[in-house]
Amino acid sequence: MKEQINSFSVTSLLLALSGSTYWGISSSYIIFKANTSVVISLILGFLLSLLYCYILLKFFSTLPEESFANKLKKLYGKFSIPLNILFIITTFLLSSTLNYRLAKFLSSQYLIDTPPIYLNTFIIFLITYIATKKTETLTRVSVMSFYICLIVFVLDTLALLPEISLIRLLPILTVPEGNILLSAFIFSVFFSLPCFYINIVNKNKIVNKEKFNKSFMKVYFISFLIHFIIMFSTIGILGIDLMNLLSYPLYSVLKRINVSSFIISIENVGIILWFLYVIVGTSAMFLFMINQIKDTFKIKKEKTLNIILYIIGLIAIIFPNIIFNKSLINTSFKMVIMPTICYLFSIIICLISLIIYKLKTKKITSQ
Amino acid sequence: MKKIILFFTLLLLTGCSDYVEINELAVATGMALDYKNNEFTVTLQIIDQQSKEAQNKMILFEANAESIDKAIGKISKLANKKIFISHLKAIIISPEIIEKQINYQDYFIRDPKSKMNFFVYTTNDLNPKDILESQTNSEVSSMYLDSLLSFNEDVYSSSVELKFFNLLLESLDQGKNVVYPVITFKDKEKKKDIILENLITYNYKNKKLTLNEKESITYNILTNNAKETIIDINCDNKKFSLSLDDIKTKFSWKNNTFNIDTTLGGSLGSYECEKPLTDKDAEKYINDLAYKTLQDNINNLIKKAKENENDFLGIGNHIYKFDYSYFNFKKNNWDQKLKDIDIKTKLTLNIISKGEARFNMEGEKQ
Repeated sequence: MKEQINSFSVTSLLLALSGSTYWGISSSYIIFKANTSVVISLILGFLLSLLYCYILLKFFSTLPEESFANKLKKLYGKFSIPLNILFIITTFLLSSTLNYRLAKFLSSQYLIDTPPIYLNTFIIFLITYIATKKTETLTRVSVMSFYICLIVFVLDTLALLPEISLIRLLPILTVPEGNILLSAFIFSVFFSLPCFYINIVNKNKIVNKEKFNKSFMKVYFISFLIHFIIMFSTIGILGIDLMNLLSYPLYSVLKRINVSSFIISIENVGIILWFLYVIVGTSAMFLFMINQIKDTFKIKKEKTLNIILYIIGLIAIIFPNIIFNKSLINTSFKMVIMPTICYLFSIIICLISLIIYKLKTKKITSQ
Repeated sequence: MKKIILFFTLLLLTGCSDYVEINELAVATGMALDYKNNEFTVTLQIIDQQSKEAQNKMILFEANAESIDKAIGKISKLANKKIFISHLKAIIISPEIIEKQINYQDYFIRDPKSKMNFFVYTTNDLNPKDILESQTNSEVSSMYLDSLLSFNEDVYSSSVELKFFNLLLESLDQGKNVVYPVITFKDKEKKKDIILENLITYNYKNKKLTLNEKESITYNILTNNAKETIIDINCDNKKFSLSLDDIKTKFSWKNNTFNIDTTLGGSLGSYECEKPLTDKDAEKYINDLAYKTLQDNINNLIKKAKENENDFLGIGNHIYKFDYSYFNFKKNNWDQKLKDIDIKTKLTLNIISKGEARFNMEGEKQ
């Protein structure tokens, strides 16, 4: 019997997708740019991101019986092939960046003498394997990780609560407005645009699709709340100057957990959030890539698709070592600018697609 | 396909390349840091795992190098083990390191194994190594140093509990100088019995300022570091002691005036004054004397901070947080500006208990 997907199981992916870029990438950048004003930036960024969510939800409801690649095919005709290939490339770049960042973190904090490529191999094998199991398995993993993340987050927050000092959030406005706005924009880009990968599912495949939009907004808001509280408590504990000094402030803050001098050194449990976010998020991206290849090049054999997926996995292991050279500044630049360009590409295509669809439907109705 | 995945997964699960057996680790619990002739002298107190006694003994290793990292590497070579600093309980730094502003913090920030939750002490005229040398069995090892400050904060508050993490926060804060707890020997000649001395702090010119016991206690009252403390109050050439608790101080900055509002709860300890406690106005008498003494202590401490151009109280930091545009902390020197700040103090003292005795022994004899 074919398993069914409900709205919640799809939208639970949002938590991982929106959060996958937060740890070690967007958070460091927005802290650096906005300093203590980062709290304002997060709120502005969230409001800005709602605009993209509106476009995304509209696009998701357009041609609900078709997969993403076929939607583009119907809307753009011949031009859909290069567009679909571009989407595969951008998804590949993003997933590689996220996996490499996680591998770098694990290598720098836990396995200092182990090269990141070794850890990256392990991560990519895991996500490739999940992606071969298709949407049903991925959404199950996503639902489980959703609850695990929520529990870990609540426990971490409760344990850190006594350490938070609100005075460390002051002074709030210390940077020019431009920095706050740029930081808000970057947050909105990194937070909302990965949600694009819910397109791994056609809306018609969802059993209770009428509840989809409501469920989407609920999980999206929960995800924002988590990110906001994480940032709020980290500044409240570390202060902005120390946060700027540390490479992984969101991880370092977990070292402060000390419950009655008994529960200590549990930062390794707390950081599971980052691990789960990236695993689930990039699995969705890998699945998106293989769906694109399948529909664009009309490959029907499951075995061939799996082999292609593993080849992509192998390239994803080698690729970051070529692109992210050893210069740290260069790496940070690529990690922020490159995903921003990729994400902007997706929003532009979605927007143009919606306009074309509207025009086409208008034409048909007028005829 | 599954077999291929299984094969690759097995390859990945063969173990970590940087895996170290516990026997090959040298667990450091204490560290002494000195800086002379452009070199760090690092002394590490390491748990002797070879010791067959019930309680592990401590071994000391010392090395000199241009960086802490290199010195620890040398110690690792001497001990023939990898140094593990996650369980570090205390570090003792020499005054030279603070005075010359030598960056020793960097090593502990960068090392991922560092938990940054160990205590930081300094010494006055001692070599920091001597403190570690005096503790070679586990009962008086760095674990003892660890509890020394916590205990002090709970019962007397003449010193300050300075963890490395808080040291970092205070060093990075604008308008606040770090206050260090000082550790020394009760018997300096025999190098016996470790005790906490009072506090020291350095201003922008790195000029040392030592706080005496009374000032250290007042500092802890004003910075909310004191949970409980005891003060002596003079009365007609005699004295009584007051045990203070429920200590709460609030800073506020209004109309270019800095306000310090302190609330204290107290209970009478010993009482030697001539005025009998059974007198109707005895409570007012005690209250007035205690109030005046505490108010004087606070005013004297603020005067000392202003005179020595040293904002160890964090007045500037509070102003920076609440009135960011009042002073350019990044370009100008706040310590020099402190003397121009109008500081007003308010004290609320509630003596809630006179203890178990209804009157003093001497009063009864009369």
